[in-house]
Amino acid sequence: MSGRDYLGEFEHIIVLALLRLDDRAYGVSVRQEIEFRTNREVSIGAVYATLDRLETKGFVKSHRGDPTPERGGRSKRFVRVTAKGVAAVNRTQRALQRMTEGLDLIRTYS
Amino acid sequence: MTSQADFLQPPRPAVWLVNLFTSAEEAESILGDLLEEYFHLVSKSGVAFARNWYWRQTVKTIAHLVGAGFRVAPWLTTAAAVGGFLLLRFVSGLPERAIFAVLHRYQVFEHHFNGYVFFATNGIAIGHVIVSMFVGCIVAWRSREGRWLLR
Repeated sequence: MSGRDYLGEFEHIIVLALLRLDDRAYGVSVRQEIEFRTNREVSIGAVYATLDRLETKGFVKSHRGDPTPERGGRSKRFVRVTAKGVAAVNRTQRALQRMTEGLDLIRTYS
Repeated sequence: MTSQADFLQPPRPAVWLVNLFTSAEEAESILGDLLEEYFHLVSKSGVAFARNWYWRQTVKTIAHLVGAGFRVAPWLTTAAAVGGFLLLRFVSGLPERAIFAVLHRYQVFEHHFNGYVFFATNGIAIGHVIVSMFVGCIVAWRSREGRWLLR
């Protein structure tokens, strides 16, 4: 198993946001979901750069929606997690769990 | 004069910059997303706040796209940046020479001393900004070409 099978920190957050949003996942909703849940400001460029990387790895798939007037006649890019992406997020979650097992993080390091 | 409708639109230079650093396909989604959130912010927090937000997003977005371009096509992006730097070195003296040629040609020093001082100081700085922007555009364009080639 190579490092490519695991997700980076921001990749992990993006895939989890995509899974939460399901078929409503596109640039704006993903960005807002991350800001809402992590309380950190995220740029749309960071979201797209990461989505491109995840798509190259085969972890997500995207398709274009219809153009809408509130977007100046531009279309949305909807994104879905593939089976390979779900496997990668599970693998990363398990690795993180194993690494934190037995560590009393709050008491020891706060 | 700026009309009310123009004032409500996102800042044009920011839109132009995002267009410059993205491929046509990427620009469609990114600019659409930015516009959607921008109008939402205009109605919620006012135009000034929304415009600030748009500029912040533009700067961060460009930084990420340049970073991504470097990861996808490191040699081409580096070559574009180095080429841009060399071009900047090569042409950076030109505005200075052009400004002083004009000042001497019209003998501004004798007739309009204040104008001479202004152009001799601010004129050169403005010239450098224009040259830097020109070179920046070439670097962005070449980096974008690289990303398209390797897709």
